[in-house]
Amino acid sequence: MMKKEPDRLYIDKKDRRLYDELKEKEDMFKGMKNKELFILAMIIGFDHGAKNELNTKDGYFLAKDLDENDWALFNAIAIWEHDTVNVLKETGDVYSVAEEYAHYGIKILHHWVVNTPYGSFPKEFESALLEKFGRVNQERGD
Amino acid sequence: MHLNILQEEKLMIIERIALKNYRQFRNVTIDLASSDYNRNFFVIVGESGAGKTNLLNAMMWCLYDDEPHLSKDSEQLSILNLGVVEESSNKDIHEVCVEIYFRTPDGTRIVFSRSKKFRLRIEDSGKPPEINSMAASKLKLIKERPGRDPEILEEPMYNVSGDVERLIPKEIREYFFFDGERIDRYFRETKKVKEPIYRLSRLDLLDKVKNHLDKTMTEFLRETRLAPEIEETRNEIEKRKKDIQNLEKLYEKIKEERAKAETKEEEYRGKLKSVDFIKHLVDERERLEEEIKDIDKSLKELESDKIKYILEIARIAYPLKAVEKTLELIKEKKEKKEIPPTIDSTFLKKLIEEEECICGRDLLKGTDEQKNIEKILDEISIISEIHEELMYTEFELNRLKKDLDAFNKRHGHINQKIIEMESKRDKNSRRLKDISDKLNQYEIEDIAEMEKEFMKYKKIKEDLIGRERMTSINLIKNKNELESLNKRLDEELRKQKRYQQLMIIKSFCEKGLEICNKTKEEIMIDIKNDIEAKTKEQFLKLIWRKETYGDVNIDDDYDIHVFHKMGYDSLGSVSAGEREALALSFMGAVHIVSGFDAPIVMDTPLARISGTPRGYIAENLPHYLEGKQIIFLLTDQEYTSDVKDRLAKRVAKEYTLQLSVHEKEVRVI
Repeated sequence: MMKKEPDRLYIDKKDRRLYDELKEKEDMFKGMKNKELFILAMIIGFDHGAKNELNTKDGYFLAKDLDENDWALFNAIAIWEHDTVNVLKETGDVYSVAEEYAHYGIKILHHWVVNTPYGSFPKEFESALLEKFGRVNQERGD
Repeated sequence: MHLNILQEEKLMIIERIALKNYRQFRNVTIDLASSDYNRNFFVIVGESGAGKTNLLNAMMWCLYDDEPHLSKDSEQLSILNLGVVEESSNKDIHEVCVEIYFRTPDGTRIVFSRSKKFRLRIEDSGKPPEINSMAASKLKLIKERPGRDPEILEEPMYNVSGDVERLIPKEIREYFFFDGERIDRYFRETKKVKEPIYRLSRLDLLDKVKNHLDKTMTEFLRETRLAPEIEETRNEIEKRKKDIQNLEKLYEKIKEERAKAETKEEEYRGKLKSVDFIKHLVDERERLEEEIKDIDKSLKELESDKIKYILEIARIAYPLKAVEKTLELIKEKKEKKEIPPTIDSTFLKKLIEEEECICGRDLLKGTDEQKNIEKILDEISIISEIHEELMYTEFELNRLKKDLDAFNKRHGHINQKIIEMESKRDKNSRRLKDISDKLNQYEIEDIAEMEKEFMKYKKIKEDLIGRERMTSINLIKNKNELESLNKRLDEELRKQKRYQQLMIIKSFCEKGLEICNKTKEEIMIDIKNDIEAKTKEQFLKLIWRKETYGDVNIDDDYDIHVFHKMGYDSLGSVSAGEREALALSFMGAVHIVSGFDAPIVMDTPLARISGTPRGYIAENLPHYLEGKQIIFLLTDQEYTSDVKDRLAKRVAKEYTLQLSVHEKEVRVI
C-alpha cells in the first residue's frame, strides 16, 4: 500500500472538549480510541450531508493508527466528495474530507448524547441504525 | 508479618474468658494461656445444645453488645442464667458479666468487661418471674501494664467501643469469630475487608497528607488578590470541592447503610436456614439468586458485544452510498480496462521526449497530438499511482458489504440470546417470588415474620445499591468538572506574570496530591495481590482435589474466584468442604497480610465436612496461621479420634462443656 502523508489527522481545537466529554459522559465511548470516535463523527457528518472547514487544527491521532478497513472508508468518502477516484493521489485531500465531515459530525453526535437520558444512548443508536438499515435495504431492493 | 512458631510469641492472645450468670454459664472461667509457644490451639468440645455457640455469643456480647449467633430457643430466653432466677426472691438484683482477658506481646493485659444488672419480680401467684433490665449494659476496659497500676476506663467517659473497634472491627468480626455454619457469608461479603485493611495499613495517613496539601493550596489561593474573572473561577472551584466532599460523605453513608442492610439480610437468611423443614426453600433461593447474578453478568457482556457489533456495522451502513459509488467507479475503470493500466507510462514519456510517435509522426511541443499524448500520460500516471490503493479499497469495501449483508441474521441471533437469558432471569425471579410467598404463609416458628424482615432488608439493600451507583456517577461527573475548572484556572493564571509564585505553589501541591493518590493505589493493589497469593497458597494446601483447581483470583472488590485447571470459574460448583477450605484460606491470608493481631475463634469449622476432606483439613490446620492462637469450639462428632490425633501436637488445652442434670447450667471441665 502507498505511504500516506501527512502523519496525523486533525480536529478543530474547539472540538476537543466535545470528544472528551463524550468519552466521560457515555459508557459506550469510554475507552474508545480517538481514531474510532473520529470515524464515528465522520460517518455521522457524512450521513447528514454536511461538513465544515477546520478553523484551528489540533492533532488528534496518528495516521499510522489507521488500518486497511479505515483507509477504505476514508477513500470511499473522498471519492464520493470529489466524484473521481483520482482524489486518492492527494492524501491531504482525502484527510481534509474526513476531517471536515468529522468536524460537523461531532457536534451532531455530542448534541445527540447529551440530550439522551443517561443509559439510553446505546438503545437509541441501535434504533437509529435499524431504521437506517431498513431504508438501506429498501434502496438496495432487499 | 512472618510467623515462626519457634520464636517467642509475637501476637496477642486471649488468656482467659470469664462468664458470670450469662445464659447457661453461671460461673465459668476458661483458662486459655499456655507457656508452650508451639501449642497455640485450644479445643472446647460439647454436644449440640451444650453451649458452644453461646460461648461465641458471650464474646460477641462482651465486645459488641449483641448476640448474632443465638438459636431460636435462646432468643426467647433472658440473658440472665435461669438457675439464678430459680433460686432468687422477689426484688433480688443480679448481674450478668462477661470478661475477655487479652494479653499483648509486650505483656500488657487488656480486659474488656461488659455487665448488665437485672431486678427480679417474683409473685406468689406462680406466674413466671419477670426479669427486668435495670439499665443498658456497661462496657469497661482495664489495662494492666507491667510494673504499673491498672488503668480502668469506662463508658461514657472513655470510648471503650473505639478500642474494641481498633482491635477487632465489628464489620469484619467474622474473620476473627469464624462460624462454620455460615461459610457462604464469606463469599458474599468479602468486600467488607477492604476498608478495615485500609485503616490498619495506615493509608488514612496519606489521606491526611492529601487534605493538608489541598487546604494549603486553597488558603493560598484565597489569600492572593486575583483578577475578577480568575476570582470567579476560584470560587467555582471551591464550591465544586465542597460539593464533592458532601457527595463523598453521602457515598460513605450509603455504603455503611448498605453494609448494615446486608448484615441484617444475612442474619435473617441464616435464621430461616436454621429451620429444618424450610431449609430446602432457602437453599433453592440462594441458588436462584446466584444464577440471576450470573445471568446479569452474561447479559451485560452480551449487551457490550452487541454495541461493539452495532458500531462496526454503522461504519459501513452510514456511508453506504459512498461505498457503492466507489465500487461502481472502480468497476467502470476495470471494464474500460483502465485498471490495471495497460499502457506503459515510461513508453509514453519516451515518445514525448523524442517528439516522435510510434507511427512515425512528429509529436512537436505544443501540437494537438503531443497534448493528447500528454493527457493520456497524465491519466495513466494517476491510475498507476493509485491502482494498488484502489484494489485494496475495493477488496475491503466488498468485505464490509458482506458483513452488512449478514447484519440481519447476526443481529437477530444476538437479540435471541438476550431474550433467552432475560426469559430465564424472569423465570428465576418468579420462582423467587413463589418461595417468598410460600414462606410468608407459614404461621409457625415465626417464619413469616423472618421472611418479611429478610425481604425488607433485601429491598433496602437493592435500593441502596442503586443510590450508590448514582452517587458514584455524580461524584465522577463533579470530579471531571473540577478538573476542567482547574485547567481553566491554570490557563488564566499562566497568562499573567504576577501569578507566577502562585502557580509554583499550586503546581507543587498538585504534584504532592498526585503522588499521594498514586502511592495509596499502589499499596492497596500490593495488599490485594498479597492476599490473593496467600489465599491461593493456603487453599491449594488445604484441599484434597489438587488436580482440579488451578487458580484463585481476588478482584478489586475483593470478590473471590476459583478457577478450574481448564480455566472456568468454579466457585459455584465447589463442594462444602472446599468452600470451607477457601473461606479459611481467605481468612488466614487477610490475617497474615493485614497484620491483624487478635486471635481466632472457630465455631464448628468441620461440621459440614466428613470423611477424607475432614481429615485433610484437620491434617493441615496445624500449619495454618502458625503462631496465632486459635480456639476451636467443636462438637463431639467433629472431634473424632482421627481429628484429635491430627491436631494433637498443637493443642495446649482441651475442655468439655457439660450440661448439668437440670439443664440450667454448663460446666467447663
